[in-house]
Amino acid sequence: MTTYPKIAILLLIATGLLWGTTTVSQVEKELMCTCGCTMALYTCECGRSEEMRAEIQQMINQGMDKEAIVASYVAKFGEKIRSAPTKSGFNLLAWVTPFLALLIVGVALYRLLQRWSRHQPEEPEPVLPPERQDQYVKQLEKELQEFEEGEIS
Amino acid sequence: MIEIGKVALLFSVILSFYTIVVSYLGYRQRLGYFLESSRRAMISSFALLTIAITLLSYALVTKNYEIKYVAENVSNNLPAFYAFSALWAGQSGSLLLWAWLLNLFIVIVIFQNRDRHLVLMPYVIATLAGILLFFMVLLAFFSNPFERLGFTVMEGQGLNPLLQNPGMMFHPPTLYLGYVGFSVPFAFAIAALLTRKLDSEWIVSTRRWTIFSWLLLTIGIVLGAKWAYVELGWGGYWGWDPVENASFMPWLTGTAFLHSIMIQERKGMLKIWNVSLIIITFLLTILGTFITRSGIIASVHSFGASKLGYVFIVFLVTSAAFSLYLILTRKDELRSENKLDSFLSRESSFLFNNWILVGAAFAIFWGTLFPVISEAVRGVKITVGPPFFNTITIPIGILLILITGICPLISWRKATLNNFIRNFLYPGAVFVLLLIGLLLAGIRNLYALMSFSLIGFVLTSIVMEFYRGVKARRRYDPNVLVALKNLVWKFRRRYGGYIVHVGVMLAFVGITGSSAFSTEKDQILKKGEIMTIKNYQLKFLGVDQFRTANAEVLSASFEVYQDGKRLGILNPSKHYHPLQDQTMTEVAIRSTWKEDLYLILGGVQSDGSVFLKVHINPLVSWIWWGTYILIVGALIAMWPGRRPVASSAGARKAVQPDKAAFDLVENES
Repeated sequence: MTTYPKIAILLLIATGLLWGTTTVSQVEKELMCTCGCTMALYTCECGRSEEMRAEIQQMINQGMDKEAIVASYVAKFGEKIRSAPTKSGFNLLAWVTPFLALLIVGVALYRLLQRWSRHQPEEPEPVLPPERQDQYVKQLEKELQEFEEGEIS
Repeated sequence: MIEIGKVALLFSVILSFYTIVVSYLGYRQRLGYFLESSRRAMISSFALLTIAITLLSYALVTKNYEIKYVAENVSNNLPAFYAFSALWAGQSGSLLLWAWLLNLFIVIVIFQNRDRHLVLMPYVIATLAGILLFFMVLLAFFSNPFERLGFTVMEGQGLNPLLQNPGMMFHPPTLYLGYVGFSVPFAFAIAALLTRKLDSEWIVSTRRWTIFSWLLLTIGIVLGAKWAYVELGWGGYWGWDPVENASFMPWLTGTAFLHSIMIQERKGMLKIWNVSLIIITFLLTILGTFITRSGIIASVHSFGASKLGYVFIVFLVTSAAFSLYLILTRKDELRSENKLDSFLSRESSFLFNNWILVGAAFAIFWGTLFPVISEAVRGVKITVGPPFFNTITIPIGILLILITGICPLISWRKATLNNFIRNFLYPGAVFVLLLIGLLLAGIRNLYALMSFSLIGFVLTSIVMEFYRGVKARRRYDPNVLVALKNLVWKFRRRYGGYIVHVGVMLAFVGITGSSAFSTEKDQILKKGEIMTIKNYQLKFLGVDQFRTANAEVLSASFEVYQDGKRLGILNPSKHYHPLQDQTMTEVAIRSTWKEDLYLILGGVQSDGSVFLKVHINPLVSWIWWGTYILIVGALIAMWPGRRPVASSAGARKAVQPDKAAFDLVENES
């Protein structure tokens, strides 16, 4: 790119900062770069991405809002210019499916775990005098200690 | 040299095929010397691949343009270490590295298990040789790195400037080590299915391999993120590119596997699930390579569309079908008595952890493949990029943090409500206090509020675990530090795991902070002018122009002040690489624990003014520090202990076992 168009781009961006609420950074998150790098516009730093940002700024200066700018790019490049699918029609599937799958599997897992942990009739717990309980607790701790040491090494 | 390389690859194909056949026959016919022969074949194949990879590396470093791969990936003035890294910059070179690493792992597995796992090993070797055969066929017949250029050139096309970064020296090999490493537990799982030895032996014997692969994959992913952060120059570290996603998916399922195997080891449950998880993880590692090499999904990482994609899809489908067949035909043996002592137990919480991790992997898988589905169903090409993945994964990530905190609070087998509430008390209090504190500090971003408060909850629950452990340990070691050291060292897997959790939580702090609170500003600056962003002031000092070996550089200087205090000079720059006709943006970063000041030079005008873009990314360095802690934790968890003594007479005779030894071990099992 020669110097003059570059200056023009920079001036456009600079003047655009003074305009309405739509900003380049809002719009660039919605679009892909068209240089073929396959990156979202806001993540691309190539020459084409600079031009696109300038185009966007120009459109903002003309009074276009985010939706109108994105629509103009979609009309030119097709749906693939959007950085994410729309939330309507067939594309809605993209957004809903992961959560739906998570929900269905979550409910199924909850039920499965309930089934696995369904209690068998509990046997009455034997009651020992406290001094004998202490003896067993000590023995249990010792054995657990030995078990874990043996297990991890 | 070229012919030696080609012949080495061809012989390695033959040896891989030979290994599969003799391993199978050796096991079926109980012929010990066949098995020994299969082992030697793999060792020989490794020697051949080592020769091949050495020759290619030498050709790259010495710029031997007779070889097409060399001519396409290096140039005369490329420094030697970047020329060496070109080994994995192109398609066939990276495939060769993959095959070499796989063969290296096979040899390590052979030596590790010379006197162990007599029944499993023949099929382990056969499975690994099968995977190696696939890569060797690709290398020998579809993408040969030793292909001649066919004409003479004096200069190569050079290395992609994006790859000329020290991070790229380590990112791909580390990632490959992780990918390839998962082949080992996968092979043991397949061997367990084939031999119907479906107890926990295959899991116990590959536990360290799994942690090793997971660790390397983690490091590979983080190095990739770091590279993107410093090299791509857009201010972020994760762009949800299909290939990034492809590395993240096996990480998620591998993480799920690392947790769920504990239930099988303790309770003998979830056999089908664990076998399926490791198979899915392995297939996802291959899917990642398929995406890079097929061109089916547009990606910044792609090597371009090629025929290799079809070969990969055949391998993927065959492996998936074969694995599924094995699971279905052995489902009765895999069925275990699934009984939990209580719904409120560590086992249940691990299963919920699996649900979220695999759910996240599915969400990413779905988003990555949705463009293909859309094109197939509607005939319309669409893109599924960062906004989609951020929307989908942030709530799942928060759920994951929550479950990470809850898991350690619940006892194994059966947690009583009282016990749960007691454990919950302090972490719960920290959660509430943090939430109130953050609200009072003016934070209103719901995700950030939840994330930070839950991270506090998780970290407190881990601290409590250490506290309780040290307290109990002090009966044996009165000194607190000695007690802590012995606690961690004696229960390496458990406390190493907690340290990994601490690392992951710190990384989550960084991810949350940088995602929710980053600020950016751009401005045109003339020499001497000052740009202000938050409490920073950047004074533009001027532009320097100079040449390096590969590039013409425009470097801008900015004097940086914070609240009026001088911090130093930062130099963001533009590098023009004439050979590739590409301009790269080299960012300048000033990193502290609190935030990164990130400068991008947008452009330089003829009047000397510059277009400067500045990001302030809070807490990014926590991601890197969290990773260091994670590495320490994983190393502790996988640190070997005493090697178990061979458990049977048969196993001791495994070096060249005879029929009797086989029968003995099979009867024991």
